[in-house]
Amino acid sequence: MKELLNLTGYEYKKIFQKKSTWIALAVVLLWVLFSGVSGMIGDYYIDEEKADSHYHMIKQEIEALEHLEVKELNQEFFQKGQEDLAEFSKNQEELRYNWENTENKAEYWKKYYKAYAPYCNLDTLLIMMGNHNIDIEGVDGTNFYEYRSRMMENIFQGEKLSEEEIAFHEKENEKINTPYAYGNMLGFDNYFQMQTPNFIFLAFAVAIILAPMFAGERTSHMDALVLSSRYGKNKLIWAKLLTGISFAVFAALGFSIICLLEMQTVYGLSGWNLPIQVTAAGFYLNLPVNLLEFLGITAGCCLSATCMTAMIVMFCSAKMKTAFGVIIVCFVFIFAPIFLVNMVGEFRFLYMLVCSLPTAMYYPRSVAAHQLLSVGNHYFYFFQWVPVVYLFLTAGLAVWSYRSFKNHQIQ
Amino acid sequence: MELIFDRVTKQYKNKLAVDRVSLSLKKGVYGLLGANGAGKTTLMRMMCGVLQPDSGEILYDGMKVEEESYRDILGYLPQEFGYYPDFSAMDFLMYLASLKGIPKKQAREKSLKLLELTDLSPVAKKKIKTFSGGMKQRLGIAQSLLNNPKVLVLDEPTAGLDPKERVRFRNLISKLGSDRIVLLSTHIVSDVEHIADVILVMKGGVIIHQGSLEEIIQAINGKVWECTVNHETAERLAAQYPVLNIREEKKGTFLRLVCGKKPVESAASVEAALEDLYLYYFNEAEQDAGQEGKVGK
Repeated sequence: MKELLNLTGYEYKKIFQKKSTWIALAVVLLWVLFSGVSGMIGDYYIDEEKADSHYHMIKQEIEALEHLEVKELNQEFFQKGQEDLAEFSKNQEELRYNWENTENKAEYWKKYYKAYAPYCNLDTLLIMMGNHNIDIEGVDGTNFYEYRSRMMENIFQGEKLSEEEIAFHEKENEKINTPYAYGNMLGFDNYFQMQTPNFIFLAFAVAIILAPMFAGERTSHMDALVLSSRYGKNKLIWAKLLTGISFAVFAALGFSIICLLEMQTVYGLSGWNLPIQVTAAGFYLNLPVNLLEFLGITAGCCLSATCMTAMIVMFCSAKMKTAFGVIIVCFVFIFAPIFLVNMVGEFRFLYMLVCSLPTAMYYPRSVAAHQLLSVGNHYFYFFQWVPVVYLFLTAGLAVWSYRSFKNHQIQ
Repeated sequence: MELIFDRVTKQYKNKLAVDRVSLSLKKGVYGLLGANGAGKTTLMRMMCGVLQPDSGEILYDGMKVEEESYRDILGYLPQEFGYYPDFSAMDFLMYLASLKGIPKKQAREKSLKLLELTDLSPVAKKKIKTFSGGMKQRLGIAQSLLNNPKVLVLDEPTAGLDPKERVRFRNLISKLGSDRIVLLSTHIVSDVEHIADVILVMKGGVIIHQGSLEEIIQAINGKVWECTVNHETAERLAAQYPVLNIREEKKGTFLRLVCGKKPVESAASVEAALEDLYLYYFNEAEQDAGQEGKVGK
């Protein structure tokens, strides 16, 4: 064990002595930091005139959501929304009459947005509802949940779910407490939205960093030397595999924590106990969990998907001659599901297959997709069965990679 | 201590690189001589367990070369010595020491000693990418000695070394050969001539001669001739016999060549050297290129 850890240390040393490692990690870090605040950059324009900064608007929305008078998505909340906006219109008539004046326009917008901020997210949810053949004009506090159920039925029909799956999701929906608790969900919502691009970037970085793990020994002509050494055909290979997987774990955890800290700093994470259905990321899902629980689920899936990606990179590295070839193959592997998922929607088996690929696991909607795996009378979400499959696949590929490098012939 | 090659064969597509080689190596220094493509490197790779023979086996005291316990007593300097450019010499030796299962403290002491021995102490902390070819080669030699190997395989170890370093290295190998098996291949005949207890001459994947220097040279003794002839005769002889040396002189063209009988009346028989044997065999090999080593030759 001591030797294994010692060799793992040297593998890390090899990784971090490469400039490409630092460049790849720096690019991911910059992307994560930028993506977290990108919504706050820039200004809001009306008729090509600046009305407000996005930063100010978001700050207003956070402030409003943190200090809601009604903290549930109920009839009272909807009613208060209507009253607040009506009150605003009444008080700002003077400004409205002088709309042509640029300064007034900006002032009017700022005041309007202050009144509108608590209901901005709800509007997004209603628009999402409208995208699934629901007439949102008729939605109010009395029928919001009924309309949402209708929307879910439309979605299930579109996805051609079986009756059993629909029944399962209806049961799941019943487990969600209504009316939904409401508050500041912005931190989590932004985290879920940025999670996919962040982890895809990380997967590319992992491919670049781990591609030379085995192939690099060949290109540097170190293979003969290491394979003729005492531990070259056993502990060294395990050390390399351990390095790759642990690197993937540390990188995924590290960047997730950085992103979460950024979200906490910028948006706040006080709404951790809200149901996921109050966010854009979870509105189409019937999973009865709160935002913190869903964060755990998606983070776990991203972690296992990154480990799986790392294992595939190392497998290719053990099989191929150059790190460049490994990078090309792995880039295609990472990129392909983004397009394939839209192309194979009609074919359930292919859809399930594509959605279980590591890149698809970076999508919050994929991990809790409505298509379920049935075993007897039990139904499983992607996030329940895919990590188990990854575990077995990782073990299988690790053994295969081990044998490949061990039996590598120096010619 | 005995390393046995038992009918070891290796074939690459249509080329037979090593053809049923059977050998027994005991304590001492073995010099493997052969032209490019003779099969030396393939033989050494199989001996180090990094290339599997198609048939036959290699055993060290009954132990297979694929076993970890064999690799534990093996020191190897490959022909293409690889390295990690951003590692320092010390880091590199410490890394290989850990690959060889040497405890850290012991590895540090041994590494420092070997850096001293190979004159690399002043650059121990410098990155290998800044080293000259000779320095890299010395580092390669140092790493091969880390685990005090019982079997030391050196594939062209003196390539890139200057004459002074070569002499130093030759002396070191001589000393090492007293209690282990050392097999070294080289193109530099004088290296083998000076230090090898047994010389193995390899051609077309086959060991064609093996024995001490005196025994080996017997093969061409009485066949080496020197003469000074006019230009036309020199050209004719050069086309007819393997020429070991040719030099323009005032009196004509001086030739040293190998021939079964006196080539010209003025020729004088001289004592053969290992280089004569090498040139004799491997000039012939070049002439026969395209036929040697082919399956079904």
